[in-house]
Amino acid sequence: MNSAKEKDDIGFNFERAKKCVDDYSNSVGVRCIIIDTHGQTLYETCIDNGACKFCQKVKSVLGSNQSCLNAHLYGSYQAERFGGKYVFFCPMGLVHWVSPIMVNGIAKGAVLAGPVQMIEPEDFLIEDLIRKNGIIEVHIDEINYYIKNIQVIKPEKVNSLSELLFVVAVYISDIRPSEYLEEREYHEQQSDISEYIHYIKTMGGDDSSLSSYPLEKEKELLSLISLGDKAGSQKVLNEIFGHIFFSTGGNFDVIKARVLELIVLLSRAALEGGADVEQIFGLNYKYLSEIHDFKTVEELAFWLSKIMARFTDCVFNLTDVKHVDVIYRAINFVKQNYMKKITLEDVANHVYLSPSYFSKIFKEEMKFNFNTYLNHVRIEMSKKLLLDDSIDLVDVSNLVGYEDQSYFSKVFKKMTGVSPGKYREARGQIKMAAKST
Amino acid sequence: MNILMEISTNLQQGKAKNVKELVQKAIDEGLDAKTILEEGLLHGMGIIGEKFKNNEVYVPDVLIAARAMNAGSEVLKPLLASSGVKATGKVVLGTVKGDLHDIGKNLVRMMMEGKGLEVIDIGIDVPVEKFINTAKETGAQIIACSALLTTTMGEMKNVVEAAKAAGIRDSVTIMVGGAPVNENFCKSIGADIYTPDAASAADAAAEVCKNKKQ
Repeated sequence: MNSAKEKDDIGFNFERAKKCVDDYSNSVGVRCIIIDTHGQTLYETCIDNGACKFCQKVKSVLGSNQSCLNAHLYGSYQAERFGGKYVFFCPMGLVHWVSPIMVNGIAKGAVLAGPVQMIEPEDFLIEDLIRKNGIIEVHIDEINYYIKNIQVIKPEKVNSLSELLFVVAVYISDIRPSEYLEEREYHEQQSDISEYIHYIKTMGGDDSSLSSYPLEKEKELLSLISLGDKAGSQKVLNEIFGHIFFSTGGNFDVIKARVLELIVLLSRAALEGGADVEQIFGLNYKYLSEIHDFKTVEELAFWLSKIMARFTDCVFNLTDVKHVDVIYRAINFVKQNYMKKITLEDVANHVYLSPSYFSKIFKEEMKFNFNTYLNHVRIEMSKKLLLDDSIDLVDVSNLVGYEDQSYFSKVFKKMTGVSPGKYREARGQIKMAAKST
Repeated sequence: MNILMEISTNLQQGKAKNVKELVQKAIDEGLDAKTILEEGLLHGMGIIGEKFKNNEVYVPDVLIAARAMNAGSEVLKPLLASSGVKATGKVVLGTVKGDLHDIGKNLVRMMMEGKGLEVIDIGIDVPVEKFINTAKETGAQIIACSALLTTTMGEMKNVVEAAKAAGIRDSVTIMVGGAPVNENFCKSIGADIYTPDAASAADAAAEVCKNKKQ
């Protein structure tokens, strides 16, 4: 069913869109349509005979397909609002997925695929749907017959098909994929925070330690940043946000104040991790003036995540590093094995270099030698364990990879300025002395 | 496998027809509605929820599980409703604008109806005006709103403000709920009651209506 519409009428490249849905339909074997902003079908690929027959049957029984059009349109609205894709049931209970076609930030139409089923026809609750749609009894057998011709695709595959249709829609639109990705990151962050709030609610209850501001988490966060751990620090940051949300009840001004405090703390952690002082201070200045542009808590949370990622990047500025892969793999190896008895030789083997060459590269790129880095990681990890009084110092030392407790204490004191015991007594409230290399 | 586990497993697989039949079978075997709901249906939804969080399953799986959940709950509905008692009060119930979550809201509706309340379910993605207008038209004693996204919680504050502007704030109790919502939030936006789940929401609402009658 083709319509000879000009590009100007529609608002997007119709020829390209038609070719795309043809290719999509042919490769995945699912019917695909292009709809306009009123839900009207502009173009349809009839690759799936069973589906076409079913829809035609329903249309003839109901006398119109207005409810179908409405469902398609509603689906495309939701897709536009929630990250560019949406999977849904049509009034007859069949599965469709849709992605909007965006031009200049406005949806000019959508591409829609389906119908398919995700469960076997026998499990299909046809009677309920027939009742809901006001179809009279006499048609039930016919509809049942046509239902059996609708292809069954497992949910996992449907998910992939919807992702792929999204890619097609992006190609037809003028929107850059990164805009969608940012939006998705934003929603994911809010989802994480929301879950953590729920966790505090269900686990915490009257336990005030869970609902008060988590200073230990803050320490953990700073530690992860100084080690350059992006994924780990994002997770902890979301948890801290959950707490802030929970305890302030969403009060924007209080939250803004907390975020400002966090930015300063994060910047110090980055500095401790070896970031360039001028660069960090420059960023700080920029951020502290930017904060006033934001009006909602979610914007603040997302912005802070980006800042934190930036700071963490500064800790190990890998783009300047010539031997990126070697350093990256070495760091990963250390992160996963610091608690064992590992040596320079072990790591050098892991990256297929001779120990002396590896040591030279590491020192050149990182500006400090490998053993110093290894000790730094072990000491950072030990700090967390030290805050738990139930773990003996001997065990702490073993758990971070030192066989000899007195050696551990010596290294600890050299790096932090105090002995492990004192650190534990002071509950971590000590100013860090300058790191000695 | 005991029947509650069967219900949970079939729900997770999206087998709505089986869930319907199994729930009926459980009722016939004498299990009470609350147990079937919590240990059968909600148990299954809980597992799907966890898996979704961990990216082990995706939206399509959740869709069919939710459909099976609805099918099963429909069977339980008459049991959860009290029989032949005149409505003790009216509640306007909905999920705020920007939010499409409805499973929790549907549960709240069923539990409230089970307490003898008349529930006017205005659905999902509901704009502020609709909450207020429906409350005015039906003379409801309670407006209950839910939100599952931190981004939509702010809408609840708008509902409170709109109620004030419409002059009905004093005659209507505003209840809030949803995963990211808590007591602090409720107080800070000026709502009246926060409840953590469907059962306590129903209890609180029944209490409110009872007190309003006196």
